[in-house]
Order: sequence, then structure tokens, then C-alpha cells
Amino acid sequence: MESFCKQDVSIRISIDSRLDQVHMVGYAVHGICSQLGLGDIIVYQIELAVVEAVNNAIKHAYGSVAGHSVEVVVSVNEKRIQFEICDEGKTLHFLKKKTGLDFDPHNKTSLPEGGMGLHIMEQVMDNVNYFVRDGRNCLILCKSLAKKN
Amino acid sequence: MRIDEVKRGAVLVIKPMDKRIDASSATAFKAKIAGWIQGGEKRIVLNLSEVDFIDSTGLGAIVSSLKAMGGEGDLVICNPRETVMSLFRLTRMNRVFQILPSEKEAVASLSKT
Repeated sequence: MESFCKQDVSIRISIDSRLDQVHMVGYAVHGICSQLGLGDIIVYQIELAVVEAVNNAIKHAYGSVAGHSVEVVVSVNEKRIQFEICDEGKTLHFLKKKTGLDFDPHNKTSLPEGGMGLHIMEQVMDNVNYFVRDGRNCLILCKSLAKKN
Repeated sequence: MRIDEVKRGAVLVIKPMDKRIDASSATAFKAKIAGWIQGGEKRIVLNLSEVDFIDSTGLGAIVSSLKAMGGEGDLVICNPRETVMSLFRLTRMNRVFQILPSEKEAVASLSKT
């Protein structure tokens, strides 16, 4: 953690609204989190949460139509890592609601094939906030880096 | 998406060779498994030893494959990395799938039924 001071250090990543570009965001997030000394499972889960957020922007805000921008701003300080995922597509009101995964694991027909992204983000991150700012939809994912006793 | 396949008795073992099963590859992945199920395969082992990353769309494709097998078939997972295993735990899918540490144990489990 010696390379991260009290002030925020940030990086901006932008991709086109294409699912075949999302892995590039994943690789960047994975690389940054690995340098913070987090364990492999936490690094994977943070990458997963950000990928889910970017997938949502592409699939739901832009309706899987290419040619639009999805921007991810990663900022880190000694206390937390934060991801701001922004798009200019349709506002996704479902992201404002808390969600859970409710199914019977023994009943095959009840198993969800989708709708798990927000649940994953809420499980992995300490804070999930969605709002509209200057006509842009922004999802903030924040994870504390403070060691828990 | 490249998926290796080998038949072990009545059990079909499939091994995705791509590192990621995600939203960009899940449709092709699901279609390939659907082809095997429609071809009559009812006992499938999914070996995840080569897979580094699965997102919820990739997981949804695996769930969809299990559902497509109906009441008669079963799909058992083997060799997931601890990181990938954490996705199954986060979504409680570890309570849905039988997940075993080795291909041998997974094949043996399906051969019993």
C-alpha cells in the first residue's frame, strides 16, 4: 500500500458499448486490485462486480447497441477503492432497489438464469449507489481497504 | 468458444478451453451444450480447470444447460478454481450443482446414477 497515499489516485477507462470489449476493463481492474495486496478471491470478486456493472450498462442502458461509450473511473486512496461506471443510455431504475436472490435450490425450474448482477455487486462491495448526474447514469461501487479485525 | 469433449462410458466430459465464460461468449457456450443435450447426452461433467473467470451471464448459461436437461439428466461440475467457486457461493449456486474436486470423482458420481 505504500504507493497509495491519502489523496486519491485515479485512472479513467473508456470502452465502446460492446460486450466483447468488457474483458479489457476486467483485466485493468484485476491488475490494479492485485497491486493493492488484496487476496485472489477478493480481486476476482471486485473484477466480477465491475464487469457486471459494465455489462448492465451495455445490455440494458444501451440495449446491446454498439457505438456508445461506457466510462469507468477507478480511484484509490489508503482507505478505499471506488469505481464509477457511467453511461448516457437509458436510466436503469432497478439499480436503485436492493435486491436478493430468492430461489429454491432443489427446484430446477425456479433457478435464475439472469438478474444476478446487482446481487453480486451488493454482496461484494461495501457501497453501491446509482444516480443520474448531468444526463449521465452513474453507478458507484466502493470497497473499503481498511483491514477488518 | 473452444470446448474439448471426451466420452467416459455414458458420461460426456466437456472442458471449455477459453479462460473466460462471460457475457460475450455465453450465448455460444450455451448453444454448444444445448447441441449435446439435444443429441441425447443426459450425463454431463463440466470441467472448469482451464477457466479463470465466469460472470453472471456465463453462470446463467450453465444454469440454463442444467434446466435444459430436465428431470432425467444431470450436470456435475469439477475442478473449479477457488476464485470461480466464490461466484457459485455468492449466488448460492453451490447448493444447486454438485461440484467435485476432480474429473474422476465427477464421472464416478454420474456413473452411479
